[in-house]
Amino acid sequence: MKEYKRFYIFSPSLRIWHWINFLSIMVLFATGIYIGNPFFIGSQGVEAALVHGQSLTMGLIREVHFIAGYILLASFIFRMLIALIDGRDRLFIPKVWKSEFWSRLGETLQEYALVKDSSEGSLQIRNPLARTAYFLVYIAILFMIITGFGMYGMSDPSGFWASIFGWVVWSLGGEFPTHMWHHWVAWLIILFAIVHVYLVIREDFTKKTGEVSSMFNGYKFFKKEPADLKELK
Amino acid sequence: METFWEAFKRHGVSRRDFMKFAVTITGMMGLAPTMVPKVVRAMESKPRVPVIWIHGLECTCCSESFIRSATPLASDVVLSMISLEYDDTLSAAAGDAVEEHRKKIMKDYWGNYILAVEGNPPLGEEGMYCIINGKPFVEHLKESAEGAKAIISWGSCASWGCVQAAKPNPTTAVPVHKVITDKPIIKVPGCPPIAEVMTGVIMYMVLFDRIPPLDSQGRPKMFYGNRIHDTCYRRAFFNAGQFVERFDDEAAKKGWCLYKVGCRGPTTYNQCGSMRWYNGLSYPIQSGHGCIGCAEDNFWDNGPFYERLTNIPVPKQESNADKVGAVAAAAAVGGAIVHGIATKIRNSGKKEE
Amino acid sequence: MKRVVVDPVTRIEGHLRIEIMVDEATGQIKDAVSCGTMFRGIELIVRDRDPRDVWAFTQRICGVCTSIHAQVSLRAVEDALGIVIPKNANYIRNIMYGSLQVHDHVVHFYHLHALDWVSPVEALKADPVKTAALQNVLLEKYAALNEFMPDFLGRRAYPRKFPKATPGYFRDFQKRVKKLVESGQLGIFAAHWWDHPDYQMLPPEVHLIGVAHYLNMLDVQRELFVPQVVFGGKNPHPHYIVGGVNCSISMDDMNAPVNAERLAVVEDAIYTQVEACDLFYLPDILAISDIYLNKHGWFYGGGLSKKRVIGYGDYPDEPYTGIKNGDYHKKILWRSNGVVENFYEGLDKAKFHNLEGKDFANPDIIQEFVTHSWYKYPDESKGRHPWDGITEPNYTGPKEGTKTHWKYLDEEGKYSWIKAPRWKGKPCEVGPLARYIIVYTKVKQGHVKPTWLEELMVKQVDAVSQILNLPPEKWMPSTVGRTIARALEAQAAAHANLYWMKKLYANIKAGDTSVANMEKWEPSTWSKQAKGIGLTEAPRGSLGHWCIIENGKVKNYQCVVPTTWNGGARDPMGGQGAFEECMKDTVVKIPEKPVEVLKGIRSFDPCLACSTH
Ligand code: HEM
Ligand code: HEM
Ligand code: NFV
Ligand code: SF4
Ligand code: SF4
Ligand code: F3S
Ligand SMILES: [Mg+2]
Repeated sequence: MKEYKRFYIFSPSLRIWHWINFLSIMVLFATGIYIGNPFFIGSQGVEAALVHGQSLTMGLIREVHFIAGYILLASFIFRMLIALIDGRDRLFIPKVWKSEFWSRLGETLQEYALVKDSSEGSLQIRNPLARTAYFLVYIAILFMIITGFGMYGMSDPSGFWASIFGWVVWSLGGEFPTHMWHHWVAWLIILFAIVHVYLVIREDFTKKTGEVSSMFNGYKFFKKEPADLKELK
Repeated sequence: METFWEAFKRHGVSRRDFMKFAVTITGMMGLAPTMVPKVVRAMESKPRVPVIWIHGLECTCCSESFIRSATPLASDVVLSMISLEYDDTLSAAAGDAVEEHRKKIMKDYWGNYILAVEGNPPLGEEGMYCIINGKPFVEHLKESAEGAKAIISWGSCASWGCVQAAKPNPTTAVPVHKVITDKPIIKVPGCPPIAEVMTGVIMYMVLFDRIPPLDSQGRPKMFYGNRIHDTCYRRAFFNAGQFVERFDDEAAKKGWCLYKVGCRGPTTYNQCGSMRWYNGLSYPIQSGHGCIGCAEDNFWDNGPFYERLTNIPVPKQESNADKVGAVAAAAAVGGAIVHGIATKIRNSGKKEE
Repeated sequence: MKRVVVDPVTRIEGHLRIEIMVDEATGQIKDAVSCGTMFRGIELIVRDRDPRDVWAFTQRICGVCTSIHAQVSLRAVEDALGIVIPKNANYIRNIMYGSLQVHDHVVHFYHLHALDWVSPVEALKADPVKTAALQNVLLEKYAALNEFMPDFLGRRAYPRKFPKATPGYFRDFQKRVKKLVESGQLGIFAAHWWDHPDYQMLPPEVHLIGVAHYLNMLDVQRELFVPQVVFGGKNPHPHYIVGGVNCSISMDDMNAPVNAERLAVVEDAIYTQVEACDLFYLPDILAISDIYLNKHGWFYGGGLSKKRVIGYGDYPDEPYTGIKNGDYHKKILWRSNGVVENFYEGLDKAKFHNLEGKDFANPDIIQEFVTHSWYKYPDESKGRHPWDGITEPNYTGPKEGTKTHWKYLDEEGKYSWIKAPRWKGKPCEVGPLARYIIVYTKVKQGHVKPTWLEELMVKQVDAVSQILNLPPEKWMPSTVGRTIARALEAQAAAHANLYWMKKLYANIKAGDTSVANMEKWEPSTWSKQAKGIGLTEAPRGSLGHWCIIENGKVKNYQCVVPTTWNGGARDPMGGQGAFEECMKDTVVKIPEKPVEVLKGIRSFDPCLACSTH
């Protein structure tokens, strides 16, 4: 039996980013779904002007959504900066121009389709499918930021946020479709999160790479050097 | 020909006030004070702005709305501010006589008349879903646009396409800007637009002799700069989370927010919340019905009107994003569990090397 | 024989072309063609949509008779789904409808039709002193009608809208018109055939009154629609909901869509409607009519109204359980439902045929033909009942000219975007005139015991007959009669609005504030397949929407519209619609300037957006 070796994979910045991102999205999703359909009402029978601060109001929920939105924006900018600065943090780029990408993608698909055993593939820090998914999730998050701030900014169409993000409202065919896209993509992100969490845990169980803890302490465990380790240099 | 000064005089404006007005607009147009006499002369000798108002596929509600204007009164606009030289709905003359007159006005005022378009051109059947004087309306439109100084697209028809362009758009109706691309176009959407918005646009153009500042969508900023939701008098109820759940419930009697019965105020740019209709008398939300978004592009296909979220076409079932999303999320969790178990079975028996 | 084309016909809603074949020697019109030159396909657009949304789509069929296509659509959907609306909703819808009747008729007469009768050029010749005197005479002379007009509320201290009758007013007015004419920028008055001899038929003073009131009513007309703005939030195109109305009532809340303050706004507007009709519209129209009929013997344009008219009935006094089940026709105050043939031959020879609930569901009674219209049927020799209706465009082009540049239309083949509705295969005229003829015949021949409204209508007709000193069968079926009937109807509607207000007040006072029945709001409560009929008396005539709802969506939707009846194309049996018949019943003085024909066509208040939808 070969021993597992510890490999330093995720920078502290990345790990901090990941959890801020996770928390803000959870808050955004919960408040967003409520905004889309305020099913639970806590303020019936109270004078509208007096409700604020007394109970769960639409105004409060929206405020929380926007604060979380700002946090998401800030953390997204942070994430992009660290990717620029540190090559270690560019693992989310799917290298579609490389032939290994496609061959390993095939392997991964076969693995998930339970055709191949999980241990049969080549050892990797991160498989091409995961890279692609993360890449798409970044795009989805960016989309949520743009559409979110687009809608947010349009209460003042000549103001700061509208001048940066307002265009998205018109590109999507108006503000109503923008709301709908924002709403649909919110669900897509949640679907990603479910599958993502499952696959992370699965990886941990099948390969014992310390997957889950890696996003806390930055280390993964492999018996021999994974094929894509060179990318971290 | 009646000049501005004469028209003003008819309205009892004194020479003194007229001069003051001339000074003001000279400044507004960014001209030096030395230009005042020139502006005065221009206003004294300038004929009323000729307007050619043509109608395509439409319901004429825009004209109807226009004549409801109270400030300024439509009669003053039509007879003193502009010279409405051609309008299928109001012109005394008919047939070739009125068509000849249109051509004459175009020639006499080439480059100086305003073309107002109500309704829109259908392109299907070579344009023969809308025929004027035996020819397709689209030809009429192109011809009339040629010598126009500017074009006003009245209403959602001319601005966006409106009801006849809703799915499946049987006549291939298109908004004006899809056909006329080389002229300034002022979109004044709404189904119909508010009367005072319409006359306000005309007034601006007549008084300042230029096009009002437009937003990125080509709409006058001053009238389409706000969402109804941001100016709605029921907004306090929205913020407080006090909603009408069903028409005519207790909340409806109290005038609470109509968000949950489909109000499109949060996504609609119009003056209904602030100017309201009939000089402030009411607007759809004040009458207890949500906004249906009538000033927005494609609002007809953003239905059903009484749902906050559009339906996602799932066969044989009413469904929206939340229902589909929740089902998909449950399926994902279920799928993960099943996949997990299957993985376990697949890998069991294989011992680690 | 000369073929004269007028295209566009202006001062109407939408796009209409007419062609007439004139015998140049006599001015007699031998044949005439009416062509609707637009098509939008609303019937196709509402398919597969939520039936609760359809009122908003069909409302956009027309912005002039705004809200009628919404109301009739609600009726059709409610009939299909078996929804009974609350009392308040019924009264409020009636007030919104009545306000449309008043507004649409007033605007039609003053702003679309008046310039067929009066001219600004002639108005310049008037003596302001004489004009003022004449205005007073008119108010005196034609006040006979106002005597028996009921005031259900009796709250107006004095009339607010009263015609000015001073020389100064008319002199000032004349000055302004003169200025306009001299400016050379005639605007909407430009390029018309003001030199036509017809403009010599009235004295200059009547011209001046007419032109003055044209402008005066342009400012007043907006106030007539205030009730729709209060109850529906805007106008044109106010809002409604299936199951009732959206304007909830609460007397305890200033935020309520309807409360005491809002009702006061409505009431005031209704009195303005009453005054506009009683003091402007009727005196003006009777002055013109009297001279045309009695001085010039100008009885042209009766056409189809002499032979056959049809109506559907309206004004449910109380909520009804359905239309196809017959309850609607039991509850209505205004039973203009039926067909009257040969009214022109006199009241005793006129033949009445009843028409009620089940007849509208009968596949053989009301049908639409497309033999001469630009649509396709599998078998075009037959008509189709609206429930089986098909709307499939099929443009074929003109007889002379090219596909996109016409010279003359092909009346032997297809020649219009308007279909041809028929009653038992026969063409009928619809409109205010038709309704007055039907109600008058029904009451006078004893087919019904009149309601207060029907009694009022009969009195109006008798009073006008007395003023004109002509029997109804002589003056009614004519261009002039059509225009008078419309004014009478506006007047009746204005006064009926006071009646609905009274009922609304009483019901609220009794503690009922409900405005919507939401029991069948959710699609899950609907049956899988449902068919409905919506009927109404639109300003221009009888209007029906037929719908089929399947699995919560619109399966088929067909509108049979007043101007479709009147302006429609020919049928395979050779029957012609009311526009064509009217033109054939007219003689022109100058074939190239057929003012008489246009007067006749405009007396129908054509609405082409409606007719083709
Ligand atoms: C992953 C991130 C996000 C999720 C899951 C999310 C989710 C949602 C959802 C479901 C809605 C309801 C949409 C509707 O039905 O109209 C919503 C509304 C909204 N979101 Fe987000 N959102 C996210 C990010 C953001 C960001 C970054 C902003 C920026 C400020 C933002 C601003 C808004 C605004 C302005 C609304 C409309 C609120 C209203 O209409 O009252 N969102 N969001
Ligand atoms: C909204 C929820 C979440 C989102 C959007 C999200 C997004 C992401 C993204 C974009 C990455 C790639 C980071 C990079 O290298 O660029 C990532 C990696 C990772 N996430 Fe999440 N995450 C979410 C929730 C979670 C949760 C709840 C867990 C814990 C179980 C988790 C564990 C991990 C781990 C272990 C990795 C590293 C995986 C690898 O290296 O292949 N994530 N996540
Ligand atoms: N014809 C017609 Fe209408 C009416 N009245 C509708 O039903 O005008 Ni637009
Ligand atoms: S914008 Fe709407 S309301 Fe105006 S003409 Fe078009 S359909 Fe009618
Ligand atoms: S009624 Fe409509 S526009 Fe007004 S606050 Fe509510 S959602 Fe916004
Ligand atoms: S429906 Fe139209 S009228 Fe105003 S409130 Fe909405 S934009
Ligand atoms: Mg039809």
